[in-house]
Amino acid sequence: MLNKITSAIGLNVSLGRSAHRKTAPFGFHGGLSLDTNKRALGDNTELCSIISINPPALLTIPLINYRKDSVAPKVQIHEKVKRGQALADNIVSPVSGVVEAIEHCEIIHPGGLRAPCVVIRNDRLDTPINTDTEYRNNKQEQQAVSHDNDNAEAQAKIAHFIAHSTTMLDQAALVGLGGAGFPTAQKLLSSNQDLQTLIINAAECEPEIACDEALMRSSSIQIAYGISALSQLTQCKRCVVAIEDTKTLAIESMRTALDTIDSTAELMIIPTRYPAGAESPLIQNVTGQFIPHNEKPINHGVICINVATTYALWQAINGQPMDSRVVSLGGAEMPNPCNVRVRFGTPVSYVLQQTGNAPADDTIRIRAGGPLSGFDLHSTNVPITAMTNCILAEAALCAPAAQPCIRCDDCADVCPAMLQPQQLYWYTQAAEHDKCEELQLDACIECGCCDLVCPASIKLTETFRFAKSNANYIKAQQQLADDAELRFLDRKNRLEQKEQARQLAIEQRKEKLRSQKKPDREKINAALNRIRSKRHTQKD
Amino acid sequence: MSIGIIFSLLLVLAMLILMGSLLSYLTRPADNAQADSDTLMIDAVNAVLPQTQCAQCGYPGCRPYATAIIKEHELINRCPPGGERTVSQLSELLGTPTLPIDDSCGVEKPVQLAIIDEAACIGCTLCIHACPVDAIVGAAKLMHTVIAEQCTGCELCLPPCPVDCIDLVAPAPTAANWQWPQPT
Repeated sequence: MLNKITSAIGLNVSLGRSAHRKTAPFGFHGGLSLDTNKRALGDNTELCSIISINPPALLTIPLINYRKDSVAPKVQIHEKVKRGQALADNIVSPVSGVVEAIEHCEIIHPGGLRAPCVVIRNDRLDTPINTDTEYRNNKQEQQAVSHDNDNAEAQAKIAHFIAHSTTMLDQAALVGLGGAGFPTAQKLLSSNQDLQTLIINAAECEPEIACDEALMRSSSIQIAYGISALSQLTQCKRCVVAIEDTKTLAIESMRTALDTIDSTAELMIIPTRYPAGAESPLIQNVTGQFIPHNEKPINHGVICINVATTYALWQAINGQPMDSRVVSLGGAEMPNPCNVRVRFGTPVSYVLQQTGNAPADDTIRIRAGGPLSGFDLHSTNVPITAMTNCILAEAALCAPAAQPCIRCDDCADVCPAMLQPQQLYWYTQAAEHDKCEELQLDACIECGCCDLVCPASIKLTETFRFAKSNANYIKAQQQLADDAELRFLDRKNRLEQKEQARQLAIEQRKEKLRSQKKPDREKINAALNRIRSKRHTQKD
Repeated sequence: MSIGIIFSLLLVLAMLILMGSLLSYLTRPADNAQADSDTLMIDAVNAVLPQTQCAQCGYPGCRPYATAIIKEHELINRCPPGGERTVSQLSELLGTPTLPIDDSCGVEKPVQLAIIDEAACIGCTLCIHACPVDAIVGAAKLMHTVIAEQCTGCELCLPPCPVDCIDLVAPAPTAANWQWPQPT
């Protein structure tokens, strides 16, 4: 049954318990051994190039942060911008040109939502913001840096970076390229505490996604310098580069690079098991610690940085803020699977067209993200962002109908967050939010393992995604209601005070009038007496 | 002898009266405790109400309605913005049966948001004074606008507008408050 379902969605699953070991890698609970299916790497030969494409004429940069809140733009319409110029906090312009509009545009989102975006007309000059630094286009840049093997010079650059880390990180606009898009500077600057382990996440566990692997094969030396800079900046006691064991060529390449620069970072080969690249399973694998979902790894002396982010950091040290990423193009219906370096803000449709992957007809579903964690796009005219690691083209979906749960517990066996998906399913169906919170629905990383093993084909992950967003919505509504009440009470107080002040003023005015009207009897009597005495004297 | 019996009976009677009054004194209802528990119940009811401050219930705001529910045993079905969800939460909280929403107060509507047609607005400030939650900004003879995130959709700004330039619309979902569709 299991094989039937999983073969229907093109994945080869083998269910087997991962053993918890006493030596590193320690393993983690649950997970699945999936067919890695990295079509974007081609025939997996040593030659693995990352295609670069020219940026399009119009780029659309969403003005939202990793929490999906909108951020204020720092540029105006018709303003000339240079490449690397800040458009908002931690967002830079990927090209030079003119701001054509700041408006709501459709973004990569499962609901096809629109968000405020800066639209830039590319002048194709790539004029850099920082004139001291020579900007090079991607190909030249890679050659230049790999010729730049002079270790001493690189170490001098790193030392300069360590000395000016706050300003340089501020200009670099780094965000995590693993998929969540957390601002890297925030992560690094919060790590002043005693950092035991810096984990460089090179696991890239999800099928089809191969952007990090391609980068490690082609630019391992830059990655190694980035890792060196990171470990010096964070002053970590231990730096571990974790790679899955099936990525043999990437392991080879990284080992050579780390040896070349005499790096102290250790290379840890971890078993290929989805979702080994998710933060919590990765930390379990490397350090053996289980971090509860509501606690930050940094408070346990660990931070994880994606391997592509270290590459971007090295580029930033060389004067190039983060404005592009490698995207894997894959899926059964992708005619020409490949890895391509794309400037942020480039439309998905443009990337597909430039790489000879324009969808043949409307029945093909274009998805953002991997086959398990991704979602279908409503339109392909949406801009690539730092979070877009993969674009898939798949045939129309024919999902088997869900059957009632038989309580087989397979989902709990594979859950890497150690949850009870079958129980959570009952409570989400009954909308019992308290129970869901008790069973830590929030800790679900939406990896999709439970879906793959469910013999009843229940869409567990979709249910949990809905329930999580619904719980957040209700919480947000409650917060709005509380704020509304505070404003209502403030207003009431204000109106009452105003009314009291008005009454007081009326009273005071009355009092004043009253006191003015009161005639001074003594003066009047004195005046009358004077008149009378005058008359008396006149008569006399 | 009969005097002795009468005396002892009187003594027993006196003791009974004494003990009874002592008992009733000890178990007297404490005024302060009653007031405290009322306040707690009003807080609890108020927390369930949607805080639109729309006055559709006939009271000038959500807390006054909560006070009336606890102190005057007002019915729990007078809040159309809260709808059935609020009624069921209130019935669970108070242990009273659920009721359909009272039609005389209004009908349950989806979440809505006031929008001012800024071109038509004459800047009369009447809506600003009507808004119970200070969600409209503007000044006399200048354009007014609704702070979308703070509007509760209470409709109180509609009647005072002399040029009828305020509309109620369904709020567009933002990336921050969007929900995944419920799987079927």
